[in-house]
Amino acid sequence: MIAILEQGLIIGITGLGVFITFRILDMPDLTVEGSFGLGGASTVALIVAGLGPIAAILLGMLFGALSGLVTGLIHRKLKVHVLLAGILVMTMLYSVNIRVMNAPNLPIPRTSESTKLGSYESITGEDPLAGILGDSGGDEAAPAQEKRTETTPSKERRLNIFSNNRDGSDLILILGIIAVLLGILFVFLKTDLGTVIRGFGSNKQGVEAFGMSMDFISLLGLAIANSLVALSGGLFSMYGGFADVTMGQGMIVTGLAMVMVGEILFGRFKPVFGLVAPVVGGIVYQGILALVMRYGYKVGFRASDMKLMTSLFIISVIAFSLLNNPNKKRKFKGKVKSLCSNSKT
Amino acid sequence: MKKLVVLLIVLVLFSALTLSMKRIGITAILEHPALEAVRNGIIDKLEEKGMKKGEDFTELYQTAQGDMNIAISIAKQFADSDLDLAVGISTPSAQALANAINDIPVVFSAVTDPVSASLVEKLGKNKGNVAGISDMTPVRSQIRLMDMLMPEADKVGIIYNSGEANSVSIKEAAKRTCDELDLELIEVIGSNTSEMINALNSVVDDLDFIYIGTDNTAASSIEAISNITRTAGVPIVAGDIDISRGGGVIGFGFDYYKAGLETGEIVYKVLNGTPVSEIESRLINASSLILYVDKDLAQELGIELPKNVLEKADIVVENGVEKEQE
Repeated sequence: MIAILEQGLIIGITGLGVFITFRILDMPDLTVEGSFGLGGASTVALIVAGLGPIAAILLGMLFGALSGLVTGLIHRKLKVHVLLAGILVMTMLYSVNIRVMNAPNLPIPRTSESTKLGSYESITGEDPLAGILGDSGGDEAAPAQEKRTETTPSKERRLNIFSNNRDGSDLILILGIIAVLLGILFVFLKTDLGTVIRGFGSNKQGVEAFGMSMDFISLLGLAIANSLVALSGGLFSMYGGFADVTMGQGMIVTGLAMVMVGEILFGRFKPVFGLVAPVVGGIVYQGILALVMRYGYKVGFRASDMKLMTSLFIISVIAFSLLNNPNKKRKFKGKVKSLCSNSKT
Repeated sequence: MKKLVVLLIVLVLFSALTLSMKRIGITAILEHPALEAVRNGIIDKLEEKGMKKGEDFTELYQTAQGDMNIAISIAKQFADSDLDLAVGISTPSAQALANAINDIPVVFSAVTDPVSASLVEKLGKNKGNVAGISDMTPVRSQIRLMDMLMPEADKVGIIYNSGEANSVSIKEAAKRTCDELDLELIEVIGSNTSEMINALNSVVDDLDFIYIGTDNTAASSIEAISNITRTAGVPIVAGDIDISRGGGVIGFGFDYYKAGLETGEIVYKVLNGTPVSEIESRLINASSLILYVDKDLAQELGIELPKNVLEKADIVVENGVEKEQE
């Protein structure tokens, strides 16, 4: 139960990032799929390289922000649609993340001496096909166990901000992080700059009246959103104990589902207070996931159906909001926002 | 009064029965025949040892559908489920379990390099609550065997997905072997089936033979891969029998069901009181290795199979029929 809350809150931070791009900025940004993994990959890689976990996660956020900037630059400067720009960056990040980890999967070291295995023949010291190939002994080229070249983490060094004790201390830590985040965002959105960002979604040209450039606001918004997503990815890796190149897959749909669950519960779009909604949405989403995994098989539901169900859920939320809004003429602008504006009638 | 006593006895017996019933959680990252075979092997081994499913133990089985979020959810759920033991099949599933669980034994299986996955510090006995079986495959033997059959070969292609941790370990071993044998290793990489096929199409004509380890992406596109390689006349040697069945001339690898049986052995010992620190983490036994030879395909591609290879083979395909030898 605690685990659902913890994981839901961590994922909820991604929901927060998606909320900022999709709802506040009205820029459907798909960079998320890559920046989530980038946050995880860079956080773990930095920890393995000897950095403290907090510094690692902050740098991970910075890299996330950079990936958002790249998407923004492609979108604004090269006049590429933001959807395509996001897809391009997320595709790039797949390769980048493997480079960052120098492997497709990187664990936070749990053992004091990190090594890796040599080959089968070097471990067993014999060739299983010796009868055919002639006995050449073991594999001389490879040592049975290789020491990692990176600094060996000492036993005292704290590698993970989470204790994994299931005593609620992790939950308190996550709640603290979320409170700080929401506090900062809340104050920021109340400032002049924040107000312009909030206005950007509904009236993009309007920001120029304030003497702000549209480029600047887009880049800033994308950077903030993706730094949140990277933070979510970094926390997620620490929580799970490893980063994997596939960890970002499907995060955009998950994030959107969390935003929509939040909106169903809290009503739609009060830009500042609305920040709480996606985080709560994350918890609900994770709860549903846990229920489905635990009891779903009794009604013939498989875990592999989850992605289908999530997408169907999003479509039905959009459909219901249209049905509830008979006065509003249906105009497809290619924007999710216009499609799923929740009725308040 | 008598009835009450009987009732009490029945109740006590019943609670004793449920108390002694062991609860095992098994999780795998994907629904995949090899991973499923491991699971079946574990259960069959326990039954063979006299533990009855439903009476002596219950099994909670969940797959993560390739989704890390679900893998971690499953691990956390297992941690809260009052289990006696958890089994992680595949690297990410085992990592998630090892990270989430520290009060009950965690057994891993089908993890190629448990050391770099940070599951155990070394092979052999370790402190902590984690032990298991590595499916590290004898890459060097596989490549040497093919090199022996094709002495004039000098360009070897290795098909793999750089996103799979197991395949990257295997690629490194293949690189060392090729350096040793003066072969040039050409990497054919794809992060999904279609990329893999494109990459293969662009280099296949330069290759003398192709090596495939235990890569899951290559395994799921083996039909397409073998169409291309057969047309180009390039033989495949594989570290997995199922991949070989799909188009390999030679396969030398583990039967994952047997790997499951060996994992089941560990599970049985731990359930019956052996502390995890007394369990050796190790490779699959050499006796679980299977040599597969496709005579038809060898003939088609003009490869002569020496007598000792055919004699050593456990499975020989001849005239379209698969035969098991002793």
